[in-house]
Amino acid sequence: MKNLFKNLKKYPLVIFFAVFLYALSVVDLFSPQYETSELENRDLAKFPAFSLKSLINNEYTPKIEDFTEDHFIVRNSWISLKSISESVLGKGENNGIVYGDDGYLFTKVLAADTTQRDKNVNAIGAFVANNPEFDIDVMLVPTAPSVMTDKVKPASPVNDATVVIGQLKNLVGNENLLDVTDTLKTHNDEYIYYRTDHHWTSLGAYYAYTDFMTSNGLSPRSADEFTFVEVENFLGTHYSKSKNFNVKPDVMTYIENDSEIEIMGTVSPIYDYSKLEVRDKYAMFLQGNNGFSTIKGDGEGKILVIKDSYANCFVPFLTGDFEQVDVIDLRFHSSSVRQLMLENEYDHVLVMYNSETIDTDIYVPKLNMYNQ
Amino acid sequence: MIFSNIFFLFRFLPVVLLIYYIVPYKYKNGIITIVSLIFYSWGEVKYFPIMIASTVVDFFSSRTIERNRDNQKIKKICLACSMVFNLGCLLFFKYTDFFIVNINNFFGTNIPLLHITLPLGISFYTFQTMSYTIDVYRGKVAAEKNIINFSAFVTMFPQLIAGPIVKYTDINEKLNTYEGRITLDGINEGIKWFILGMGKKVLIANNVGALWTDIETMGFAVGTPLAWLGIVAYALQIYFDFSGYSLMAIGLGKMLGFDFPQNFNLPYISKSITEFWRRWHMTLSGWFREYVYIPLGGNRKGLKRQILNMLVVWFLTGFWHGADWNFMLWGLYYFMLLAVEKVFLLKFLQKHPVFARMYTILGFLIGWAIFYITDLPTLGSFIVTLFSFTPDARFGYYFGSYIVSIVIGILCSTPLTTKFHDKFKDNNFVMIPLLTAIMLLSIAYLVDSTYNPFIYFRF
Repeated sequence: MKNLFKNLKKYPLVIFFAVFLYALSVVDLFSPQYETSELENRDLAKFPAFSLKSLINNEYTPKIEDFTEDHFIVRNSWISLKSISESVLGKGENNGIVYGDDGYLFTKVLAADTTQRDKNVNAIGAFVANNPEFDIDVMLVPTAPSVMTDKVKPASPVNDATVVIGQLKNLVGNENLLDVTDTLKTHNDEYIYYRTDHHWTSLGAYYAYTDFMTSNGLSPRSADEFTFVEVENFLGTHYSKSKNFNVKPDVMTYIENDSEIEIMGTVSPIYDYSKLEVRDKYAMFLQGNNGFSTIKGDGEGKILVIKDSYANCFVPFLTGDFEQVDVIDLRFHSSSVRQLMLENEYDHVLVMYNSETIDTDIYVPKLNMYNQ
Repeated sequence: MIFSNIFFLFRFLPVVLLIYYIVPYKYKNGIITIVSLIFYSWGEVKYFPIMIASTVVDFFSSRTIERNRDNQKIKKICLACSMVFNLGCLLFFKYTDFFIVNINNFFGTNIPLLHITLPLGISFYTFQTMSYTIDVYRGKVAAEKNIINFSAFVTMFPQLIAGPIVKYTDINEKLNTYEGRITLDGINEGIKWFILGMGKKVLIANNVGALWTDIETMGFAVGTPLAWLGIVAYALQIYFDFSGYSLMAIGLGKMLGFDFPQNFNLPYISKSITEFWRRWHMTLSGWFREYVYIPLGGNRKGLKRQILNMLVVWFLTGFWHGADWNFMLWGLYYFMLLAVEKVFLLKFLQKHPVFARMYTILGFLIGWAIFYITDLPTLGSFIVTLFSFTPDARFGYYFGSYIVSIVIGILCSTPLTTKFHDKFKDNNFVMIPLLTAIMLLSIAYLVDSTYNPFIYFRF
């Protein structure tokens, strides 16, 4: 034994590696465990419950590996170290997020899934054709890379909204399609998309609101009539994936709005202010994504908005102009849309999706389902 | 479980090493067997009985051969038992569905597929146990007397799943050495190779590999420059993935006190395809040479017979890599290149080293395309893309994102690394900071592992 220690001195690598391996293992084993990761905006893997079936199907042990990885000591520092290394290597992306200029993060899109896109576009076309008695607008909002073109590095694999917008235009015609691309582009030197999130800002939504109003022969309110409130230090969904060490946090904005929103019989304020305290601040709008919600406004007429989450910061602009604003999120709504429209006799129907949802969402065809 | 994994590094490995080092010598082989079985079952619990069966069959066949040295008949029966069992398992698990699909296609029948999952590592361990019985049959080595020692050889976790293909004769002395098997020198070497191997796998292979995965997602429908960039990236990925993994295995072997054979020797610097195959997956080509090529007569029966022997070996090598036509095509592709070199090209290549290098690089790059793209029409159009001139707007993006990793990969494929190693291997002031950096970065990449495949897993 004495000899061993004497010899060990000649092998500093062995000592070093042994100390490193055992110290880290032991400290990791006894370090506190967290259920969720603020940084990554997700629940961390739980230690799997044992069952013979999951063991035999080789499902049990990989979950233990995931658990160990998710709870490894100082996980966030390792993530930053990787991010720094990637940056040194000149990598233009991480974990499905492509880096743009000035801290912009975009969703990586390799080859758009055109089968789902075609299904969705056709569903919207059929919806317009099947409901001729209603004034339907289809607003396809381009996501950031199609508008903030000067922030996109050349030839980056990102979404291109022009193809799908053209496809829709052919199908529903100019009178029904509301293309806000040009409007947004004229403002692309302003803060109309979040850098770290996949959504647009309330300012971006405001410009789309003016387009929507004008095209329906209504007069939009000027920007001064709204009070924009800023919330510092917003790190959105894109950052939760890319986790880049050199992130530039966003300032989230919302407009003051005292309306109330009714969701499944429960009435609450239009915003969930408690979300301002957590990472996913955008979830404050309309109390998050809900199947069917209805908002009492101060204007005239009824409007139905069928939407993805892009509409969540857009809808608050409408409450001053309409008496009733109903909102459907087809991901969580499973009953006839047409039936609802006939019952409520809406003056306006707005179908509103962003150009990335339209490529991937599988619920858009529910527009035409459940009809008798 | 693979070695490049947080659980392996910070749970399995520390516990295994601790137990292995503290138990008395006579129990060490038993410990290897137990922890290896746990290691194997961790990834594939259903199939470990097959491995045990393979161990038992070959142990007793060889024992019987040993006891009946003078009885040719019994010896042959035992050898046949081992080969039928091992090849039978391999054929059944790996190739049944392939045969059914092709019989169905050919005869218009409708035999249902079995959808068998391939038992982990079966391509490797059946080869190992079979070669052992053949060696005993040939009288090259005495049969192992102790079944625990023998199962430690078969199951030994560092090489169990993906090689190197360790022959019994490589480690039988160490298996039966008790005192002095483990030395600080060996552990020191082992740690070094393990960390370097992990760096190759995690920092280089995973980093360049994502590019090829993107190209696959695009259905290989890319322009010429991107196709070249992609195939170079894939060549680097498969080399660093597999050689890194082998190096980790060698390192772990050394920590346990065993010397596994070298599996890669800078294959991409070769000046002929013949040389390439002496440097790539050396234990597999060595196995085929020793147990197929030479018994068939090798090069001792004239050129025609030699070419035929090469055809057999390369058909089998291709087929060993996977039950698909493209792997056979890949084997035949290499057979053709090797045969042409054998007949006349080799002499020409020796005189023109620059041409030889370019030809070899082109040769193995096309080889990797054939190896990877299983759909033959897609493969055809990809190769056409390589040699036509279709531009690709996306090239700039990928070039910018990957060129640094690719250049690092290329530099590490050359003798620069070995030169560096030879110069500084005893200099702790260089080696320890270098290994620490590789270790820390590898852990960072493993903790945030969005992409950590292991290519040779599917064989």
